[in-house]
Amino acid sequence: MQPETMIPASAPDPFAMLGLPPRFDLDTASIEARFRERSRELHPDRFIGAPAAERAQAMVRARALNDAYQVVRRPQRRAEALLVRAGLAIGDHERLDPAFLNEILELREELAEARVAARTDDVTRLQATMQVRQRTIEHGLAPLFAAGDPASLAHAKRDLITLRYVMRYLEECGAALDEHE
Amino acid sequence: MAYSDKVIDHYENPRNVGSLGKDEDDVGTGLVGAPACGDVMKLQIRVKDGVISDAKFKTFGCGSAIASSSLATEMIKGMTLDQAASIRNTEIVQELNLPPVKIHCSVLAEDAIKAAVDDYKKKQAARDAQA
Repeated sequence: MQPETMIPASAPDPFAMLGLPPRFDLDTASIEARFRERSRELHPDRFIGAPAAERAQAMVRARALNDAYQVVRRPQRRAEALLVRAGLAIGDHERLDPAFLNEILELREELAEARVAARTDDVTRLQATMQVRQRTIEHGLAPLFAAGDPASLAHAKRDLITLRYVMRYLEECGAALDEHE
Repeated sequence: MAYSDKVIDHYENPRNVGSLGKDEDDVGTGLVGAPACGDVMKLQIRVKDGVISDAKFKTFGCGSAIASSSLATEMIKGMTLDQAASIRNTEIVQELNLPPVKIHCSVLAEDAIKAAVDDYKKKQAARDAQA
């Protein structure tokens, strides 16, 4: 399964699809309003009498529109889409700071041990720590994208790579807690 | 997606899981990560007379990443540093029959071997410089 944060390079620009400006600071209400508006234009009811090819095309576009909406409405994916636009897409082979990797490795070990020993309190504690980290990164993104200079964007990219590890970690915490409910 | 039997075998019975003392002189440590999936892989080698006498790994990632690193530790035992560093990820892909979406897992294992060899060489160079 592909991780859902992956954005194929060939995908059309999600902001353009929705007719929204490529910015990070978009509010949820206007994103949703835009999506509904565009969805209505592609609604199957409007194509009832249309030729099959046209109907099929409308369906393909409706699906692409929905994909774009899923990207733009989530802050993490919206930010990653902005990096793609800036030519800073997160690749499979980013050089990662060894100290950071070591920290993640140790935290993953701690979680794995807590999981095996069914120490739910420890899992919850690790989860809470990571959630703080998630929020800190998410809150830091708006000013970085607002600044928009190369240094700020490079900073945003580092934070978004970290965020992927944080989200992956939180998934593992969730799985560990589900086991022992 | 179905995993091949070999991936499942390595995933269920991983070889050489564990750690070597990363501060020991004859140990090299490679630490690599794949941001696309949030995986992290540590591979360590112990070197005696220029030959890899032991290898251990710890991987937090998908089945293919675990299988790739498990296989990598098996492959490099008994090899010289240069032999180990010249292992290509395609050998791992073939051996494990990895599908295209999992090729990056084998690349990660190749990178981990190279990083461990580099780390060992750096340590040796530092020690030689001191001597």
